[in-house]
Amino acid sequence: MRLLIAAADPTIAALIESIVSSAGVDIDTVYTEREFAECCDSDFYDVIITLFTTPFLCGSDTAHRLHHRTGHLPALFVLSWQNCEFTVMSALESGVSQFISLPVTPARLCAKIGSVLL
Amino acid sequence: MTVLFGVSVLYLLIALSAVVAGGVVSLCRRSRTERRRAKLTDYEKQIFGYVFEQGFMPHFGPHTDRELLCRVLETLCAFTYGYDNTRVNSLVEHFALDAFLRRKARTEDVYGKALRLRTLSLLGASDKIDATLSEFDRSGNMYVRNYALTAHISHSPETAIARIASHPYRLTPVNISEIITQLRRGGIPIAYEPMLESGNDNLMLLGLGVVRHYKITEALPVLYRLAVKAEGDILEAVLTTIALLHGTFSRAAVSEAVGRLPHGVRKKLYRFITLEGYSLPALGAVCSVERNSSLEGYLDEIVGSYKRKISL
Repeated sequence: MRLLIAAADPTIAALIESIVSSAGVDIDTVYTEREFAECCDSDFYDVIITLFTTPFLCGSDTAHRLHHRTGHLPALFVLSWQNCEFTVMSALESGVSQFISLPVTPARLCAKIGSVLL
Repeated sequence: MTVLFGVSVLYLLIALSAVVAGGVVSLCRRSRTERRRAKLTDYEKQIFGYVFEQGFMPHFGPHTDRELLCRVLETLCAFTYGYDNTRVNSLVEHFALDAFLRRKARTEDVYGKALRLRTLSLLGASDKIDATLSEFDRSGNMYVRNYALTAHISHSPETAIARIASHPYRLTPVNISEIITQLRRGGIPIAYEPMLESGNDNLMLLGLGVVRHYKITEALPVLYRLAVKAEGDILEAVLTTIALLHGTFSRAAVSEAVGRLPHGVRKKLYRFITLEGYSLPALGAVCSVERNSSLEGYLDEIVGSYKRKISL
């Protein structure tokens, strides 16, 4: 099982990595949207956790990219401070599995990831 | 000829030494950044391991960088909740971070103060915090006041409502958003009804913020009652909340309340109502308020057009 974490701030990426490390998966981390796009193109992941929400504002970028390439969509989690209805709906309609508003409890995040991996 | 040769060699030597010096400075800066990054990674690993994986108390050697420690703990506390709070408190006490932040808050410029107060509000801290924060309650800078209030609320959530009620300044949207974040962490009760009916402007604004945040449609009857007596920015917030909850504007009390708003605020409210997807028949009573005013026909125009594009 492989998991990708995409976050611009290395401390936040380390924080999420520390929370989800108990799930026993191989974790890769990327810090820029460009690296994120490259990883989506070149590798296969079972779960993707991203804090980049900009691509979703116009509808579908990342989810469409993943879906188009592999024919199936990995579990895609978006963690964001935004809870504006348009942003959430846009993300969910474009194929995001879970839109989780920050702050998040470690137990809840682990449970969500665990339910996908089972 | 010899003199010219000597001058050009001198210039060449100066240029070469400048290039070498630049390279050395750049290397030193890069190595300093790399050292700092390595230190940060070590801090992250030890602190997150201690809090989430029940590890041992971290040890960072004799030269602990408390600035970096605060940054890591601040990220942890800002992005998560429901963690083992006693572990975070023991880290704050062990490395005397509250004393460090209090000292920094006193000595830095206003934005530095605001930043330190924000960190203090996230970390919680010792009993000395109240005395420190009261220095900043009436600061001339809005950010400092805001974060002093947030830190007070975070430190003693049991007195949060009383403190908000007695806050000498009007709550800003940033304040309300920060308080709601505390509320989501379970620090403050979601008692929106007593807040809305308290008659205190700050509590009413916060109550309206809570209703908007959680989209509590059960609050609509209270909002209709409030629309009758509210004035100014409270009335604007009440009507915006009614629109957000998709309440009715056809009640006489609500449409009259719209008429009490100033011209510019009414225009803003109409754009918001349109964005929420109301149809013209649902807004008939509001349209009649604008009869013979400069905004007559404005609502028909924006609702009848491509709604979202014109409202944004």
